[in-house]
Amino acid sequence: MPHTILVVDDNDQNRVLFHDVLVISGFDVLLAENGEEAVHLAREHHPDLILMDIQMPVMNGLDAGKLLRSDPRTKDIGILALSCATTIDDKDDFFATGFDGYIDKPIDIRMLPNTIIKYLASVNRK
Amino acid sequence: MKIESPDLILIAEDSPTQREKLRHMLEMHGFRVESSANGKEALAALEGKRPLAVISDIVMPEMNGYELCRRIKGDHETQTIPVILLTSLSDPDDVIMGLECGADYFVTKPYNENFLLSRIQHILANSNQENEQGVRMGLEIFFRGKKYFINSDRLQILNLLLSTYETAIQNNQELANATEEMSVLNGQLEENMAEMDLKNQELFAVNAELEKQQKIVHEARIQAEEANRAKSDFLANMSHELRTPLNSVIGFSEVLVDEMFGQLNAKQHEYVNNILFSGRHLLNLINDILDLAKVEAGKLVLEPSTVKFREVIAGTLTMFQEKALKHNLRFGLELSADCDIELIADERKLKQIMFNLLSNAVKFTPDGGIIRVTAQRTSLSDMRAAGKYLQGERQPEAEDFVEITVEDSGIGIKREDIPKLFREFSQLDSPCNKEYKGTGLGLALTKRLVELHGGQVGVESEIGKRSRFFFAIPLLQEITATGS
Ligand SMILES: Nc1ncnc2c1ncn2[C@@H]1O[C@H](COP(=O)(O)OP(=O)(O)OP(=O)(O)O)[C@@H](O)[C@H]1O
Ligand SMILES: [Mg+2]
Repeated sequence: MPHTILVVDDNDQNRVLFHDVLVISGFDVLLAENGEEAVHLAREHHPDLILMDIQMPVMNGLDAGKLLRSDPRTKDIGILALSCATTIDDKDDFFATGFDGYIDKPIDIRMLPNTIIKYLASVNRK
Repeated sequence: MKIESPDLILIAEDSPTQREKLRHMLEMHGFRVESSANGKEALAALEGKRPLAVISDIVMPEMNGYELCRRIKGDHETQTIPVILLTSLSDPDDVIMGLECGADYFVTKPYNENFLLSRIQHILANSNQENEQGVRMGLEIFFRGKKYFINSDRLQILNLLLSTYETAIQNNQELANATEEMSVLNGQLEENMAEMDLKNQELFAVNAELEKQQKIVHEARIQAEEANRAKSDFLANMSHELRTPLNSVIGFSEVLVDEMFGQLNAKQHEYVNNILFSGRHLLNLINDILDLAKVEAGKLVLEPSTVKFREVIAGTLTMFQEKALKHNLRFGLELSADCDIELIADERKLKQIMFNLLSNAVKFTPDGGIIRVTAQRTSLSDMRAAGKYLQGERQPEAEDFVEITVEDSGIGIKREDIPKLFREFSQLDSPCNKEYKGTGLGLALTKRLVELHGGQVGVESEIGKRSRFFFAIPLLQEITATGS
């Protein structure tokens, strides 16, 4: 059974790109436009991994991450931040919030499927 | 019998200058002068002569003035010769001693010329009468536990008392003069004070003005800093806004070039490749702007890790292999043995530094040229001694450095252009425009990244021949967050 990936990004084109590339790479893909939608979808579908943009309207990635971690239904889902932050402080924030890692923007879309496969494998081994 | 010499005055004075002064003064007034250096000489000079008067100093070697006077007055041959003693008369003892030795006049020292002359005039006027009828007194005086016998006649005593009196008057006059002078000076002082007051007030005003200016400057600086911060924030935000769609452009192009969703024909492939190339270039520019803005806002921090030096340097070179081939450029890499090290640095930024220098070298070197990268260890003192590094805002603190040089056989840089190089958006007029013109941010950022590491940059060039850009970063560097 294919893994389900929830992609959260406010940029329409990015969502399309992620969707198409991940689908063609064999994943099931859920899309959300902001943190709030992401929390709803995560509770409902319990994806295997969430790719979470940080700067978003309505609810940003960090707040969504906190909600997901505090909810027993979603607290075990892996979350990777999609970040263009380069300062240490911001990255500390990700980990403090309970993110499992981050992928620096600009994301090398060609490498993304591989990155995801590697990540899922490392989680399964545990 | 003595020869009367009514115009002769005998001087006894041991100081040659005083003696000459006195002689000169007297001669100017028509007297003949004979001088001697002490009492003894004066006595000898008196042999067979009868001068109008003897003027004698008191303190002299061999025989002092009192003794001389006593001898003159003790000898009936000479006792009528008037003796003028030059004394300070500052002490009652002087008066007593003077009386005791029988002196006729006292003139205070330093003497007032007119006063001395008036004494002599007085002697001249009275020289006929006073001599014979002197009445000897023979007085015994106890003063300060000492017994003095005064043998002077009344006239002598009177003269002496008059002298003291005159001296007192003279002193008084001098005092009055001094007081007058004082009051004049006082007046001047007051004037000066008033002037000072005025000056002070002026100064005060100037000072107030200065303080006002300083405040204005201070406020202007704060405003400038705020404006700068606003600019940096704006740039950072803009860059973010620009990068998001650009990431789409790049992402979609990559997917297309990879033919993930089906094959492209040659033309399509070429076009998409162009889109990808331009997109990446634009992204690089935006990243540079963002980094610069961040450095300026103090937001760019080092993310230090252990860096395998040789690998990183060699790695950046391979990024240019394709271009080198295309333009027939030869690459050389020479790392001295002691550079096979691991150092603590921000790997991504170190790569960025190398990338900027190498891309310039490639850009500004005509086809067929040579680009050499060398690295060696150096020390702060050697760097200072070489004097080829630019002074940054911060002084390096480390002692051991590794120095990396990127040298090309390209178009070179004019001497006068060198100071402009590391400024933002500065590009020199160059005929060489192989691929595209940049924005002139590469070196500005490079300098900042090196300085963020606690290092320094520098450049040497010979126009039309070569350029040599180098930078030194500390071998071991404390992990310090900058900004804030
Ligand atoms: N190796 C070199 N030889 C000759 N001139 C150089 C060399 N490197 C830099 N310059 C001159 O210094 C200028 C500034 O360089 P810098 O790297 O800052 O900007 P750029 O290369 O023009 O643009 P960017 O790096 O932002 O794409 C260049 O435009 C060029 O005139
Ligand atoms: Mg450049």
